[in-house]
Amino acid sequence: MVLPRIKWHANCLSPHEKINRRKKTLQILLNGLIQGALFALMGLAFSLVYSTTRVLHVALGAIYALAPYILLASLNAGLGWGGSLILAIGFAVLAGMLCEEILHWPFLRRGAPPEVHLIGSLGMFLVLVQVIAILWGNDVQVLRNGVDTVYSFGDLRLTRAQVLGGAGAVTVISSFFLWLRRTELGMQFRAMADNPVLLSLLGRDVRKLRRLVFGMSAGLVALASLGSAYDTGFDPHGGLDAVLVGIVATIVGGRGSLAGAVLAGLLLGVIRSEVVLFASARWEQAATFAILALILFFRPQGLFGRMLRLEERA
Amino acid sequence: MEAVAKNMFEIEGARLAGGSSSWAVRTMDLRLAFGGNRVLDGLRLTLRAGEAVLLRGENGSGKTTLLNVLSGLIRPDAGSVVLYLKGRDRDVARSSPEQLACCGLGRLWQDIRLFPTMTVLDNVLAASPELLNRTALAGIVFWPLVRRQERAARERALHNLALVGMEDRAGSSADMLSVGQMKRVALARLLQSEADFWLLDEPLAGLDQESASGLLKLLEKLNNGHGKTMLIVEHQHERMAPICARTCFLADGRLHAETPA
Amino acid sequence: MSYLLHLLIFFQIYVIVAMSLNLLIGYGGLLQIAHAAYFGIGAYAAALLWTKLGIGFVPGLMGAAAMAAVLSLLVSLPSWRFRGDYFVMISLAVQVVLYSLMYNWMDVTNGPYGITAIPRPAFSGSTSAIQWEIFAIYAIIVLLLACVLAAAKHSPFGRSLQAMRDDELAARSLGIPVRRLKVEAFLLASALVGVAGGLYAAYVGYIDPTSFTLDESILMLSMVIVGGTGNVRGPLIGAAVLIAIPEILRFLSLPDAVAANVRLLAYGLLLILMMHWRPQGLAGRYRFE
Repeated sequence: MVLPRIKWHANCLSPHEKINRRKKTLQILLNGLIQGALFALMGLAFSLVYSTTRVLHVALGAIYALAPYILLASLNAGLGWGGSLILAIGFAVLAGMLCEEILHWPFLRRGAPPEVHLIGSLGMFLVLVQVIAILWGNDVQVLRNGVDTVYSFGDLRLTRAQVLGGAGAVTVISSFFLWLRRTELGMQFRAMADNPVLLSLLGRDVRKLRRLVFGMSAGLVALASLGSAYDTGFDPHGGLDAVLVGIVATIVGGRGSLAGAVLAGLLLGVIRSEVVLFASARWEQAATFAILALILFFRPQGLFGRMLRLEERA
Repeated sequence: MEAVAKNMFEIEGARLAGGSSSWAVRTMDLRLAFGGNRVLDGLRLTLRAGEAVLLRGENGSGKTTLLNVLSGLIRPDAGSVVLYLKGRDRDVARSSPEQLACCGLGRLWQDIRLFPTMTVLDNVLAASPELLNRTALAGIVFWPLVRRQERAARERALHNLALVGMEDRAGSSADMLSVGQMKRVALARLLQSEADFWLLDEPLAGLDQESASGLLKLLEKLNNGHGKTMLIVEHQHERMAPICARTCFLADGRLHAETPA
Repeated sequence: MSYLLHLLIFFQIYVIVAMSLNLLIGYGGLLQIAHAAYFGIGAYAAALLWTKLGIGFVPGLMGAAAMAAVLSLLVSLPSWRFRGDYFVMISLAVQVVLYSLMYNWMDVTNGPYGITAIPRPAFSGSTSAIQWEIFAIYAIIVLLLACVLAAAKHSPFGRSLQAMRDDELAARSLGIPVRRLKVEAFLLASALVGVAGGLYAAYVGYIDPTSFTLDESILMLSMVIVGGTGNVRGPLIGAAVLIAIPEILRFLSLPDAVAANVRLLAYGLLLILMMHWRPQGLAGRYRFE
């Protein structure tokens, strides 16, 4: 196995190479940030469910896989982009709420331990992904044909997919946090993220909140998925990497910290792009895992999490 | 000179003179705050070896928190907890529960915490310090040797169960016992672990009169006959006080009024 | 008859998989979803040792066990401070990473093309074993590994593991070294499933990454969940069910392209149903409480 020879030191480069490298570095950084924006959506979605309900919502990966298929089917049915988007996101939200209705709420009612929730979610992941594969096949599909439109900003280039994906993600995330801080419902969310048990004791309508949590996380995931699908295509198994990103962003961002998960997602996006540049694409996943392991060793509470004093820590 | 030393530095002198066998536990200046609430505020606690001390206090005064700090579950913000057990003294204020167990500390939990899927005998055996370092590999490769060690530990476990009066239930599953029986098994488990300093959290809770009397007698036997140092948190203090050397009150984050029993 | 032997050999392989996962989940309470990755590591390690280095059958299996055991540290070390949730998440990450290595590291693993022409165990006459001989050899190996596991379970290690599963906090305060236990349990379980991977590679003769995905990990999990955890019968029943379902589905004469998906769909549904109806499995002793 050979790593490409890396020209680390600037003295190795000619002036022309130096300028190129600066352009390239900036380009890679920008690519990384936009990819990171989509990762941030995943991190937010996963962290949202985990902080408020302590459920490891692995089935989100299946919902991630589902969204582009609904979009494509509805486009093919002649519905146009606007309607198809709404339909795709709507389906995702319904699927998310379905997970809550048939799995997590009944399990919660029975006082089931976390393992049962997880195994149920894994089962749901399996079922949904296989349904997608049975209905639409296992091959990769695309939402657009040919080369994408490229916009130039000085020396930097962005495809339309990147612009849409990046702008969309930023808009949605900012709106979410605004909603979280400004509205009554948002405040209840935050209370739930801080202390789920306490909230249910206070008698707030936990059931409605939970449905909202599952629905919203599914919506966020659908957006991330559509952004990525428009860029590079999609297949039934793409949700797995997405879930991994969501999980790593949640852990790295810190226990109970939604903003942390967002920032961790951005960080992941940037680091992965750098890894692809300096090493090669095959080490992307390994890099993700390496980041996770490093954080767990040196800062187990995550970047923005609180250190637990008591028995929750093993 | 020695007389002066004894008066002024009575505690230190006694320690130096009597060696580490005089003292079991000393905490110095223990501080812990949750939010703005100072639960432990410069707390000092001393126990002599073999002493049984009753800890009283209002609800919410921090008795359980103190036990948790002593058990290594919560880190204090400041202060030291020195154990003089097993021939050594060490500051354990920031140690983990496993390290504390090796230092000779044991705890009787308020909710007992036996291992529900295991038998009574296995519950006690699980605490055997001589078996704890047997790795999986050793268990497989040196199987006959490990079996021999296990047999010795088993003898000891049955002996401990007999001490608490539960030897005839050795084969029962732990979740089939009454509360009183479970507490006895928990005590046998502590005996097996060879802990010298026991933290007892509400030992009489949930027991009827008869079981409670039985348990009291047992605790007395273990304290006097076996020299176990005990710190006991108990609401039914009238029943517990007679077997304890003294009583402390926890209030305002400190211990007060250490009245002799 | 030959088809029956074929099923039985697969049963043998999956019994090892189920037993090893049962050690982790049933006896240790350590839920993880990376087992297929370690199965694959074992398969690849054995296959490469046999094809590239030409070493013997048993040394190849031992190499497979060692490789899988060492890589199990990827899960057990980062997560040993944490409880269940993080353990599972880290195992998911490791599953993805190991799969991606198998798929992308063309120089070593040949990527998506896999490794072909894996030799079967050969006797001194250098004729490679025929089917019933394989069945016999594997049966001996299964029994041997079962004895190893039994010895582990009845040793102080096994008792400490169960104590940790029942009440980790109480176990720690008795001095039980839970971190070391987790690492050891993982080493043992991964070594065993690595051997199973080697056996799989030798029998099937060709391996590629698609047999070692997260879906397969979930399948292995469902073997243990459906069969039941915490005793000896459970894994046997779980392995039997895992073999039986595709055979039953065969009667539905599904088109080939869809058959694999339907199989996985069936397992997913089974998992969901088991969680609702009988979380301790068909024959298990230990419920997640």
